[in-house]
Amino acid sequence: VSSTVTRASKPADTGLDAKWLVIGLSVLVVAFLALVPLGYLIWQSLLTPEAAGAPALLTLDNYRSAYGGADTASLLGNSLLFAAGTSVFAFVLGTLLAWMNERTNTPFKTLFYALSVVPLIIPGILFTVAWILLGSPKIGLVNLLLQALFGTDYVFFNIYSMWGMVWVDGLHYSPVAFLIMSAAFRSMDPSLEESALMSGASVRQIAWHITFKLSWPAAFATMLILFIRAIESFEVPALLGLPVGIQVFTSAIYQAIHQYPSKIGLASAYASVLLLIAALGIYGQSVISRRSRRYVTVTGKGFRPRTMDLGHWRHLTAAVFIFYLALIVLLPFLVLAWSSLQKFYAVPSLEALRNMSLDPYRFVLSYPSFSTAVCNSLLLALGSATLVMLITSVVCWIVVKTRLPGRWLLDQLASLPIVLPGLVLGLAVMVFFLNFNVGIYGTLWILLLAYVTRFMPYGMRYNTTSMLQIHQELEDSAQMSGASWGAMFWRIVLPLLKPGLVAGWIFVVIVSMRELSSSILLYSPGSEVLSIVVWELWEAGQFVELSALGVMFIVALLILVVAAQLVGRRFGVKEV
Amino acid sequence: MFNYIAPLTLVLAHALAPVAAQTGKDGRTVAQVATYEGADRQARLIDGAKKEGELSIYYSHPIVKTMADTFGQKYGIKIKLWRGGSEAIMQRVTAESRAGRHELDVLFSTSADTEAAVREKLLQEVRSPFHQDLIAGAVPAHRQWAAFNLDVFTASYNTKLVKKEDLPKTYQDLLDPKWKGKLAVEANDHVWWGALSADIGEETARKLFDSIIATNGMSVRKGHSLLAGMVASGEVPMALTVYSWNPEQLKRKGAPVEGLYLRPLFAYPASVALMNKANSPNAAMLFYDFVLNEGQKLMAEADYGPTSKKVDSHLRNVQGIKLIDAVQALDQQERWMKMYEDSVTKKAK
Repeated sequence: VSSTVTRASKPADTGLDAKWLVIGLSVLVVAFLALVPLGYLIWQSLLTPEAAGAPALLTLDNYRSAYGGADTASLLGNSLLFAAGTSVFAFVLGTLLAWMNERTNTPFKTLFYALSVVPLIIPGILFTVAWILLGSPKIGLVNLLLQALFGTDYVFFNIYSMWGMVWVDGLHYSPVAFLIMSAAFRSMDPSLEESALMSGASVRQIAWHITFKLSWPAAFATMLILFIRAIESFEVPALLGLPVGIQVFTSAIYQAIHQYPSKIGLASAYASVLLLIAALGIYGQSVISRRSRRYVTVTGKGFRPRTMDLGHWRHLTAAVFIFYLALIVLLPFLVLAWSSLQKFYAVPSLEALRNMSLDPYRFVLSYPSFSTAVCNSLLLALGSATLVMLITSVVCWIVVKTRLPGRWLLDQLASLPIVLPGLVLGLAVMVFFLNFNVGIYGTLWILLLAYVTRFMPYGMRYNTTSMLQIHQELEDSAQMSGASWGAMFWRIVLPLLKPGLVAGWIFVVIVSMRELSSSILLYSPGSEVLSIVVWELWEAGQFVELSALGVMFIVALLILVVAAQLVGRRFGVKEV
Repeated sequence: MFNYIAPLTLVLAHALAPVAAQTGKDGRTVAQVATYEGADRQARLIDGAKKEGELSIYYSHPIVKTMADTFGQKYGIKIKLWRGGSEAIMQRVTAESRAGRHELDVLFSTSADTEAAVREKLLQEVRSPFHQDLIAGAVPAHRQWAAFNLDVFTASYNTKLVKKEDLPKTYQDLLDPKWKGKLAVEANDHVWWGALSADIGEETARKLFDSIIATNGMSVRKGHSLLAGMVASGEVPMALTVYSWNPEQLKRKGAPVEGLYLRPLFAYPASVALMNKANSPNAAMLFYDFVLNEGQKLMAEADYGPTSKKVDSHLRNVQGIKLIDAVQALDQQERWMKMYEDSVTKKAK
């Protein structure tokens, strides 16, 4: 990729040096970051496991045993069903909320943006366990309450089912849809909606035919992310599916890795089907990008996205907000808060009330590596989010706005790491830097590198979504007014990208804080991160302490998100 | 690639320490330190350890942290702890050693994984005076590791939901339909399943659990601690495979749980081992001794399963614990995984 672009740069005039430097650098970084783990994955999938006295040999056996049996088909079937259900549910929920939040005059919505990301903040295992405590047939509070209310022992809600899995994972990731779709709705020219309104269209017609159709690229990107992430997710299927015998594709990957000699090759062969699915999805999006003009909403004509007056309906949407917040945000939070005050989890009762204590909080705060972990995680989260969003903004610009040959490959490269199992990515980075010793092994830098690789694909989707909405004429006029490429990019493109940039930044900050599967191989004494502490507590069965940590996590990240919003409002260019 | 990395290299150049030292600061090799049996053994170890000043440990068992902290304070040695799952430990250790990077001094893992490290020729044979305090079978013939803890697969029940007189005495008792919807196992306990199958016969084990699952169902939970916590909360009335220390620790917090020893009873040893390329062989050896000596008391206090005969623990009076053979567990791993999956986890309901 890099060579194509650099060759293309030669004929350009000298005034464009900065442009090609930035572009070249971004391309190199992306190519390096993506090729290390992807190359490792493909290479390993063709090798036998390496063990003492048995060197790795070239083979196709991994593919044969991965796809030869009937098991894989049924596992993949479960995974596809789960991923489809989860992504549709998360998408519908997130989009509805985003629409209400950005395009309507629903009351209380200013509070909402920050609160709506809470489900995403809660570590996955904790969120899932919170829902077990709510929705289990035996001890689920929702069931216990309804049973007491109706004087029956009927099970209203069984979390241990495909539907339960879809419900929990969908809720957990609805903020992803909310963030992307909010960004898309925010950059939307209301004049089309207004003309429709004046022609007598109803709110529903406008929402469907205008607003939603204009945000089709965003919708596609959201579904793509949600779908692939759900396929490779592990926590929800392990905690809710396994108990009742629902196994998914990732359990096969898990099994392959968790033995000696570790069958990284088999795991990689399994992962390659995910690679294929993702590649198709990314191709689909590039087809949409090619017709980008249809979706342009940010043009030279000034506008301010006015919200739609819902009339009396706004009471309904406000009710939806409150319902969502109460059920989805508050309920799991309260369960965590309750268990964080216990010595072990017990269903709320008078007896349990007497056993309340603040010990879990004391325990967490005095945990030896806690403060180091907090600092490291913050540094990594802020660093990787900023790097990811800046690098992918340039890459997205190349992919969406230029006609450079090979840009599709760049798009794929930057997006494909999304399917890498975390442990495989961790291994790839580890093995690479063990063999090319540049001094980053054992430091925070190697974690930063892994995080940027892992979350770069998300940056791509968030930025592409916003990039597609920006009309070419804005760049053209900047350049006609004599602005350099750098000035144009910094002062026109980036500010206009802001909705996507900020949404993506928030997302990457949150998921970086939670990243575990790559971190666990790559951290070293001194570079512990928060997710490792979470994992340690989990492994030691310290669920109440973990709940305390979760509660603190949520409060802290909420403050961070609100601050990011305020800063964005204050220092960014005025809302477009 | 270079553009990106060059600045990092500059910043971090000082962090580079790729030299693999095979001798300690007192001039003795790892093998010399580990096999020395003279009367001044302890004194030389303390002396050498103080010169080395630091110790690097990879582990997965939670108690190791406590032991390492106590040890570090006692001898004024800086401890570098890295914790991972047993598979992550093996991946890190093998990847590092293949790349010629020897950071590690003491390795803690499951006995089967440690046996894998033996095959990778990463470990040092050790002669420790504390080996003789350990239960039979705790030290393999090659003496490249020693079991410091027993994870005994134990059933555990919620005392509010299961009456004492209803308790099963054998696995056969679980065929009683009163257990319907009440049973659970851990998702990755193929080692337990393999040992059980080897003991009572594969066919017998399979048929028995087929019937139990057909009559009463079986819930499969990921992680022993989660499973034990689920028993405490009432979500799982009767778990078949937690570790014996899970209910002990929960009881201490006041949870309504008890352990129940169904026969045959199996223990999966967790082991401590010395790396043959250790940078701090004296500190490593000193800590190895500490784990098998003073550390055992710390383990008993925290309700874990010490292997020293000199220490009293909740396992003291439990008869007939069979140690799972590390070599067998390693060699049969894939088969046991498959058997457990086919016979138990896939049938979960």
